[in-house]
Amino acid sequence: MSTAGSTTRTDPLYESVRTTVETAIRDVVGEWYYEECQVGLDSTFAEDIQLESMEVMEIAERLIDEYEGGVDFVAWFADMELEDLIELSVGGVVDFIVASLEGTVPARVEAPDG
Amino acid sequence: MATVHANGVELRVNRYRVGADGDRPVLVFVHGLGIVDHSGLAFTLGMPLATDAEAILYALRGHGHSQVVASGYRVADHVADLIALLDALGVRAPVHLVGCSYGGAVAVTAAAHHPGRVASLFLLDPVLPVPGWAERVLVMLEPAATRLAGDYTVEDVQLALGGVSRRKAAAVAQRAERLLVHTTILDDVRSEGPLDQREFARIRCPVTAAYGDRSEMLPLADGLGLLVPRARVHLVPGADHLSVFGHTRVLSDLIRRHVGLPPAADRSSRLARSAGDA
Repeated sequence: MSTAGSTTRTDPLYESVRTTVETAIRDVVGEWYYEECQVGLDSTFAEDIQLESMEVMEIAERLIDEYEGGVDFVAWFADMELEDLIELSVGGVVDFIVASLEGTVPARVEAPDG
Repeated sequence: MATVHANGVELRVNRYRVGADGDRPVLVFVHGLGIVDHSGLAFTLGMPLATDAEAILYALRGHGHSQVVASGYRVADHVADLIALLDALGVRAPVHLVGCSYGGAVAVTAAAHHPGRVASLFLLDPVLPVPGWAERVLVMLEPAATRLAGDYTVEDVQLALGGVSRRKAAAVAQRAERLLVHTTILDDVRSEGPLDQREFARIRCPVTAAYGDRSEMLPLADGLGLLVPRARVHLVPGADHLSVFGHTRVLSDLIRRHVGLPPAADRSSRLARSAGDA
């Protein structure tokens, strides 16, 4: 989920989403800690920002409220393995929201019956 | 996310369903005691299972963002909360309870006292309400409560939690102190007894338990086998009471099998099929 090595976009949609995600994190952890952690796109929620799961949920809930039906966070998290959750980064969330809003997230493939 | 008023307490609830409408099994998760709430389970089990089930997770009273009341932390209180919560959510059909750690005692007691509301029990490294169960819980809670009631520093907490950030240690300590020192939870647990055999005999629903094979709770599995002869027990190799919750794929598959859901496609096949669809 890290965005290390990826090219960061600078278009208005990306910047808007990035600001929204950063604001959600800032609101949950507080300004002082946000600055202390030097939160950036490559920062992971678990290791770098050391968020508890209830804080990650709080951030996710704020983003769900912000984007309403446009971003299916639950389906996204549903497809993650534990290691994906541990490696989840700020940039990964931004990329997912942008892809959702642009309609480029692949449709979920349902598990076969049986 | 919602806050639901149930049994006189405000409880934080999350309800997940991914994909199509239609009838699905309803899974209700009951988490353990202490500094946790339902959010970890929501990410690791609730949301993944919500692709084929409806997953309901909530924070027990005194935990997470649920209300911290001054008293009322016996298993019976949590069971009353659970049933009132289901009523408030309009869930009348029997549900599959997933009881984790102490949540196992809540789930088992709910099944014994409200058999019409419980379709099955999946117990994840559970504390079972058998003789001696309260002592096993107190062994974990009392030392922490003693330290939190005395002079402690955030650095002490950081050290105890394995070197987490100062901010995280302070938050955990504040939550733990609020629950363990400023409520009746310890006295409530001390006053608890086991369910009796007649109560266990009321449990007619399917029961599956998963234990880490190194879990401190594993000795209780024998009691489960005696009291609920139809119960199935699975062992997770190499896991103790804490680490077993990290075996999310194994646990998810066991829960799926337990409630009759298809196995989850693994990620590589999902990605391959997604790429093929693109």
